[in-house]
Amino acid sequence: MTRPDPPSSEAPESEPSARAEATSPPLSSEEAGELAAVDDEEGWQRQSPLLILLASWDAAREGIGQIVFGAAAVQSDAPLALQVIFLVLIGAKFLPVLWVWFLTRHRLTDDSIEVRSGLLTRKHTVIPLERIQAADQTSGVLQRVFRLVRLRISSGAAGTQVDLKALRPSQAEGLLAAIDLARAAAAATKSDAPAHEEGGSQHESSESSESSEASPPLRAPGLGVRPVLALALTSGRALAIVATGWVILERVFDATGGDKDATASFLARASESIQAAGPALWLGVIALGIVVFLVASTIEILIRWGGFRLEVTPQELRIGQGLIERKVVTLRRDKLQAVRVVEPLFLSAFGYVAIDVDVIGHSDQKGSAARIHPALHREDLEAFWRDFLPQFQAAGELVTPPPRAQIRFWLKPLLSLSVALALTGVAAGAWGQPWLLLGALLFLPGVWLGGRRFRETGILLMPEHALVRSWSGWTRTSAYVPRRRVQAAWTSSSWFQRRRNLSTAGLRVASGATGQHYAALDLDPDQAHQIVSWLAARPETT
Amino acid sequence: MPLDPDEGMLPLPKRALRVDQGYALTLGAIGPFIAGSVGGAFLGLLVGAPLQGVALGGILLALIVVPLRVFVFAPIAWSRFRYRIEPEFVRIRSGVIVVTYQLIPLVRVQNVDSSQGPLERHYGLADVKIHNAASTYVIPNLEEAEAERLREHLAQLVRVARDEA
Repeated sequence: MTRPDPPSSEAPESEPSARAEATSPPLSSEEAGELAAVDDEEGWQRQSPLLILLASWDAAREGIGQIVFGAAAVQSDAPLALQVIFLVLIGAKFLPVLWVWFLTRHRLTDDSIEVRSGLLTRKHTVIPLERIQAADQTSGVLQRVFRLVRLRISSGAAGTQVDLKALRPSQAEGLLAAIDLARAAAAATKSDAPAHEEGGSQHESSESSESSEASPPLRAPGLGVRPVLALALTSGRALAIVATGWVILERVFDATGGDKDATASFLARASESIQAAGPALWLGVIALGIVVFLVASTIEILIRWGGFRLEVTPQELRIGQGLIERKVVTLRRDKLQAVRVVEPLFLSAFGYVAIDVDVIGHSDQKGSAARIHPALHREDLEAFWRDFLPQFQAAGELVTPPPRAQIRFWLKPLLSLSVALALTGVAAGAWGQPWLLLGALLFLPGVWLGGRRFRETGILLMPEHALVRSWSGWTRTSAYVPRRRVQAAWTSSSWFQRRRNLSTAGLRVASGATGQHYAALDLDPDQAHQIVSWLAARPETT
Repeated sequence: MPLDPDEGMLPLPKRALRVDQGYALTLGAIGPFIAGSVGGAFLGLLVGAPLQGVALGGILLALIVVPLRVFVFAPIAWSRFRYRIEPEFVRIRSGVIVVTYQLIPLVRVQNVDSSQGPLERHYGLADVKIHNAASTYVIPNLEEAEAERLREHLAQLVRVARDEA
């Protein structure tokens, strides 16, 4: 297979500056043009024809609302116009399926991956291999059945993500190998400089890449029984699952019993018998509830995180996760925008923390960060950090809020608690009920949490990176941001803060498609302002 | 002010305030009017006069919010705004209730553009927008020539300042 020269406009060597390149819509270019027939001499490849099936499935999933409403409209005596509208909407969802396989082609050139797609708007996306921030290899249920691989490659520019849904394994391997080689080559030129030093982006030799390839990847501690249990116990979604299960059970009761009051009478009988049987049965029922809850959330955690493994090579982090939908995410270590240790109160009570990273263009389902470890034991944290993220060591004392800020940290949880209690009281129509006073007991943990937040908020500025520790809700987040990744540093002070002479210090980094910020509240203004001076301190040279 | 000494920080031209006030008076009245109308409709329904509620609510809220914006918020925002362009950074101080002081490294700026609304054009002013991978920062209502110069200057600096993506 011959590989033609890459399009000159996207070749990294010809760019005077990486940033200047990004001024125009960065890595994709529209080509108004000819319907180029597939030309194998140019190396264009199609995915497996099963893409048609996968695309239909996706269209059906996305258009489920329209389909349901459309079906209802056709069934009922809805006006003809409405029926037509729904049919057109559904048709529009499914129409692309006809040509998506034929028109979506990709090829690998010496230094980039190119994808062409689209019928009316012809799209030609070029991602230089060297610019690839993340490659994420997912195998959903359908893909597994047909032995296909879904590969998503993001370049860092917002919206420039290539999503190849039905690659044959050999195709996927070819692409991944090319990405790996490009990374190895790019890293080879930088291997003499520490990862956090700015390096040139040209690559000429690949000798040292062999040596780095040779060393086996390091593996992070996986997920044993205990972390999974801890996750299951603290996962909020388990509640939703139990609730859903309960609703389904109710439906089943309804369906089998046939009479509407079956569930109610079942509950009534149950509660009667419980009262008759006394506290022993009560405890039994509660225990059963807890077991159901645990099992449900354990299953959920296992589906999401089953088979978790995290490997690190000199160039990249590779995260594999998922039982049903198997996902392998590959992230470049030198392109991490920030790393954060996430400590939800309850999870950390079991001794576990989660690790997230910010990466441009790539995003997990929630927010804009990728979770690289869901539950790492605190005892392993130090070793993990040393092996995986050595550039982010915290050295020194955190600059924390001054004593005069303390009251603000207490007031906030107390205020929100009071509002919540008042609303519950109004909603339940239970103003003045004695049990509402029980809620007031929550004020104690509120004060405790306020105290913790006060003591554990702050910034620590080191020569090459900064640590920003903050709380949101019950979660403590410690973000490590490399200095050269900071998009902006800021201090701000609200009217209330100004009255107490306090201000917030924050850093903004690129993450996902939108960006992410980390901020420590209520510091002394002079100390907060150090975050600005820290960024401004040394003129950056490349 | 607890924030940084404003040495070398430049204010916006006087006419910038007119532009802000102008927008607050025209476009800025639409939002409060709609919000007020919706609120008024609900209240009106209770009394049995929804149409009057819509009109009254909209006008009332607009009458409260618009003068507040024109005579309080716009002047404060204008008088507080400061900016400074350095060889490697842009500094911006802004805000009414929350005062923010930002430092943006030029080395990471993706692109710079300037834009002009109808009022800005009338007064001969223009906004300069600085985009980086995380956010967009605006220096509003600069003198046209100054905005042009700034945009070119920033674009030049961005071109010079090299960085790896």
